[in-house]
Parts: sequence; structure tokens; C-alpha cells
Amino acid sequence: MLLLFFLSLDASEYGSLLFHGNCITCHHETKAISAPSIVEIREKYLSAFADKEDFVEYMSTWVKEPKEETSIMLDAIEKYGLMPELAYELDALREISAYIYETDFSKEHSGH
Amino acid sequence: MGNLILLLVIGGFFYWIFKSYSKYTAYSQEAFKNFSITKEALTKSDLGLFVALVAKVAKADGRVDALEAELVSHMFDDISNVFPDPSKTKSILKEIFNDEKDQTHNTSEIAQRLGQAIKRDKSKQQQFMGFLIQLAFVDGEVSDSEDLVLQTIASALEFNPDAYHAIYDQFEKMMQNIQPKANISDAYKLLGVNESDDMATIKKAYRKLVREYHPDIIKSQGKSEKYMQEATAKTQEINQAYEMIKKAKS
Repeated sequence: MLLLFFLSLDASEYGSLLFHGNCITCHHETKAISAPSIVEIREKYLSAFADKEDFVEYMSTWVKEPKEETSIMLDAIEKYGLMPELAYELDALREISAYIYETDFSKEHSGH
Repeated sequence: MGNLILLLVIGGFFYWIFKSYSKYTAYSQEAFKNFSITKEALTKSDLGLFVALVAKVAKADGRVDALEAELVSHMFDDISNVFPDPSKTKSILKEIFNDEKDQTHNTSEIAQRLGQAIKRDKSKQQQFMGFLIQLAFVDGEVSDSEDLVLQTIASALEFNPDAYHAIYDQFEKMMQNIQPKANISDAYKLLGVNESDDMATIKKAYRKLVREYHPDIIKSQGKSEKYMQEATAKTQEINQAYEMIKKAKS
């Protein structure tokens, strides 16, 4: 049980590193700068996909190949333009999506 | 006879001094037992400065890829475990990493400070530089921007240019010598999984192996340069096998 706990802790840290290393240059945690904030994206996705598996699947597939037709955030596309295709691996995108699903960014202080 | 005993006593005395000195300079729980864990203290310590430089190298090519993230998270564990309060240390190290990864203007300054802190410790200089170089190599090849960051760090550390190129060339040669597994069954064997296992199981096995064999900055103390190279090669081999299986399964 304890081992399980540590394993899951480690998994979220890995997701956190991937998220902080790759996403927040454009997607700030709470403020919208050149792209919607993560808090905003997370809320939108949570209201569309309450289930973690669906959330992760949709977000990672969409970011892998961003398309207007499949977007659930058309208002953001209108405001900031379509997200560029960044050629990340689907596996890494899944880790990041899971991290976003699990993390309440409005509670975290920045730089963490 | 009397002379011999005297010589042994003197020899023993020097050995003792040498031992206690290395205990003092090596990173260990013993050495850090009175260290007070604050962000300020850690940021100024050589390991804190080192983590800042790791952030610069990891982010040099604009992204932190999956294997880099994995290795950095193991580095956090390895370093935190020698401090009195590992979980607090780890969260501060993460803060330092996140603060520093997007700042490119202070690379030279931080490397200079680290250079001052470990000025008289040749083996630590080797150890740190070796770790940074392997991190740049881990995603396959060293990009121009990674190369530039490494050079900036090496010259600010006043690292001997010949020694730098020697380490660099050794890593390059080693990377070229890693033979990708000729067939997929060898890849499964290396990860210790079956062809019928699902991706989740295979991924778990892969990550466990990376954790076991990754280049460990604390463990590398007192070991020769070979340690870092062998750990990098092994990690690379595990990663290639995993990539091969991932491709075959998709």
C-alpha cells in the first residue's frame, strides 16, 4: 500500500516536470497571456469530461494534432488562434493531461 | 622494528585524516546532518547551484522531453535523500529548477558561483560536468543550443577545455556504440516483459529499470568517469528497447 502511494507520488512529479518544462511558457497557470490559462482549460475540460480517462484521452489526442473542428474551446481559438502542432509524443501528452486533471492550479502558488 | 611501527602509526594517522576529510567533502547524510533546509541556503549551496544548471541544460532545446523529466525527477530524489528533510528539500529543489529553467541570462553567473564553491575539488567538477554532458546526450544528440549552454557552463566553471572535450568525445563515442536491439524479442527480454503484456505493464517495467540504472549524481562520488558513461549507456539501451516496443505495439 505504502509502495503504491510512493509510486503515484512519483508519477505526478514526472507529470509536473513535463508540464512545467513544456506548457507554461504559453499557458500560464492562472493568467491568460498569449494563450488560455491552465485553470481556464481545466475547467472547460472538466465540465465536458468528468471522467479522468475521457479527459486525458481527449486532451492528449487534441494537442497531438490541434484542429478547430474538434476543439471544445472555440472561443479561445477565436481569441488567440489555433494552438500550433508541437510534435510531442502522445505518451508525454497523456502524462501531462493526467497531471492537469489531478491538479488544482488555483490553489498552487506559482513557480511550484 | 621500532621504525616500522612508527611508520605504520604515522601512515594510519594520515589515512585517518584523509578519510575524515573525504567524509567532510562528500555528499552524505553525515555531512548535511546540521544543514538547515531553507530555500535561501539550498539555492546558495553547490547542489542547489548544480540543480539550477541542470535546469538550463534540460530546457536548452526549448522542451523537456519524457526521458529528461524522468532523469531529473530521479535526481531530485537522489539529492534530497542526503538532506535531513527529504520531502521539504525536494520541493525546494523543484522550485529552484522551475525558477531557473526559463532564465537564460544568468547561466554564466550561476556556473561561476558553483565554480567558486568547488574550486579546489577536481573530482566534484568532473562529476558535475559529466552529469550535465550526459543530460544533453540523453535525448539522442546534442543540439546547438545545448552545446552552447554546456560551453557557457564549462568556461564559467573554468573547466579545463581539453578535459571538457575529452569527456564530450567519450560520450559521443559511447552513444554511437550503442547497438539498437537487433530484434524485438531482445527488447522484450531487456525490459523483462512478455510480448503479450499490455503497454501499462511494459511502461511500469521500463520506468523501474530507468530508476534502477539512471546516472546518480550522489552515487557517482568517488567513482571514475566510467560510472556516468556506463549509467548513461544502460539508460539509453533501456530507452531504445522501450521505444522499439512502443512502435511495434502501436
